[in-house]
Amino acid sequence: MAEGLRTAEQQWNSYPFGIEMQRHELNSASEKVGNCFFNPNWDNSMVQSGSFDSSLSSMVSSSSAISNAETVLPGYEHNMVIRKLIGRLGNDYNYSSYTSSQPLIKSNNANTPLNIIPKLNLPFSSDPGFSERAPRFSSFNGELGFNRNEFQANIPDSKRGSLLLSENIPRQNNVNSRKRKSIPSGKAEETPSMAAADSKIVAGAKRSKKDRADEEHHGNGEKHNKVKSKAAMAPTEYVHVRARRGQATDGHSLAERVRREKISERMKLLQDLVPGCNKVTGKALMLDEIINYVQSLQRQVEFLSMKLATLNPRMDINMESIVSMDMFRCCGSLPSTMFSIDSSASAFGFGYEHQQRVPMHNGEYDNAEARFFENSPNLGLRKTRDPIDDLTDANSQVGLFWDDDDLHSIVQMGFGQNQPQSYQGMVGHRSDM
Amino acid sequence: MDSQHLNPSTLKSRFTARFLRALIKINAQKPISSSSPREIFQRYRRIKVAADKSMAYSVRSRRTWSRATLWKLQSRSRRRLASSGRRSSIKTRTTTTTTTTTTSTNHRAAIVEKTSHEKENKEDHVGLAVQAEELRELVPGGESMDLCNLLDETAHYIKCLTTQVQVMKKIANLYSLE
Repeated sequence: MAEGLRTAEQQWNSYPFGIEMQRHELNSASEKVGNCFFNPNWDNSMVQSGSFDSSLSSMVSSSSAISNAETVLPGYEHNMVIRKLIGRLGNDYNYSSYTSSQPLIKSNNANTPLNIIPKLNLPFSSDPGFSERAPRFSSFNGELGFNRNEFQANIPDSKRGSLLLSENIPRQNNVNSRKRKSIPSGKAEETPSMAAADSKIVAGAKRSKKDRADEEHHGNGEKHNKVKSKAAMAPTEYVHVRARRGQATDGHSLAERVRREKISERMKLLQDLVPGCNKVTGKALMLDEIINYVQSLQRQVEFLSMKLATLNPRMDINMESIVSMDMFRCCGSLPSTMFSIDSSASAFGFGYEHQQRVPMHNGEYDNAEARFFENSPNLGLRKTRDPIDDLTDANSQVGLFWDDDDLHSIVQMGFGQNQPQSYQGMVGHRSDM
Repeated sequence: MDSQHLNPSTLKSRFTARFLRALIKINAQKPISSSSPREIFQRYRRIKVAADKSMAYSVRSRRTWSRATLWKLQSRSRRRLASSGRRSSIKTRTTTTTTTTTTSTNHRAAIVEKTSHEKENKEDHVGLAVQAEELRELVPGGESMDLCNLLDETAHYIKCLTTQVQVMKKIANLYSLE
């Protein structure tokens, strides 16, 4: 299917202004509009596509009806008709293209709009710039969302309702204009040309003024989230991304845009996870914060495991019961008090009498913890801690992780008499680890 | 919070149960009172590995980082066992690791392909390349992921790390209370 598109593109490119060639075939006669759909020159089996069939038949009927009904300004009318038809075709094309991950689902669908457009451009004899624009569309790589925008702009409101893409215009514009910011230089050349094409196409339309204003904005290459509000926005949310006005519509750019949106979405999620990230703006700073947080969490795990290595629950039997849910309930019921307990407990390890502290804390304990306290003899506790003097650095450093100010005061109180300088030693020790 | 703890299917409770069991096993191996600093350091390493392992097992293979962690751990243990010559253990472990390995290698291959395809789209994120690299180093298994998935994994990894830290803190508290 990709090769089918390429052949279509080559075809397209082969007659840059060569739509002139076919102009003689299809004059501004209204019937020709219908005929062009069945032009035997088309080597692509467009009619095989069911969606195109229905749209084409409807378009043919409507176009003939329209062209028959209206007489004045044949060129303009044909412009409108053709644009609407192209819009419809592009709708089908876009739908089919977007419902798959690739820009082109079927070669039928892919080629036909490109094939249609040069032929449909013929009636635009009154619009000379149009033929110039036609070959530019070939560079779309199959994406015609941009085309849709332009054509949509030209169609009056009454007809717009019948066009499926009308709802997409605001979104498209948003996407387009947003994408404009970071379009790489290679594509930047493309977009100004498209913007120029935009302005030219729009010139003939009713809303030319407003469009031109928009086009100028887009043509400046600035990022403008200008929504074309004229669209009858029946906001059907499409899962796929549409090309926006004034922006490149090839598959790469679209995929990039989708990617970027996903990334910003995830950054927001991360912002909620990482504490203190609300003030930070910008991806780079956010990522720095995230990196710091992950590093600190990993270090915390290390130190806690070091602490667990040094602390021995002499009551392994009680640990079995810990695995049961009782302990969990106890754990849950004592949120912040645990920290203070722990800090004082670590102070115990530095050779302090903890007898006097026990009654202080007993009231806060659940039964399970009181059990531990009674079970563990004071001496046993000391024995486990004394040989670990050289590791007290790690222990005390674990205390540093707890942000509670009370903790700090208690910890410092406990450590104050031991080694105030151990804090510096900790840093050095920690780096060794 | 209580109900969360009591719910046996939360990440927290799964991790806690596993980690405690591992901890009990480790502590049963040697009495700590007679440990030299070196032994304590070994125990520390074992406990750290147990913590990471229990967390990775609690997450199963649902996440790339957990798969990468498990793969690393198992390959390391396999190497260690191979060097120590315990063949029987290798056999039992190889069967479990092969499945993990194949899935992880397949997954990695798929990821690498996808990454190489998307690498050309990275030019607009040049400013974030440095941080992205750092993040990749931090998050296990992050080397072969594009930024989008990397952020996803980071979010889950942070969540699991916080759970891990919480549980280990509480266990340490309980230990120290004895």
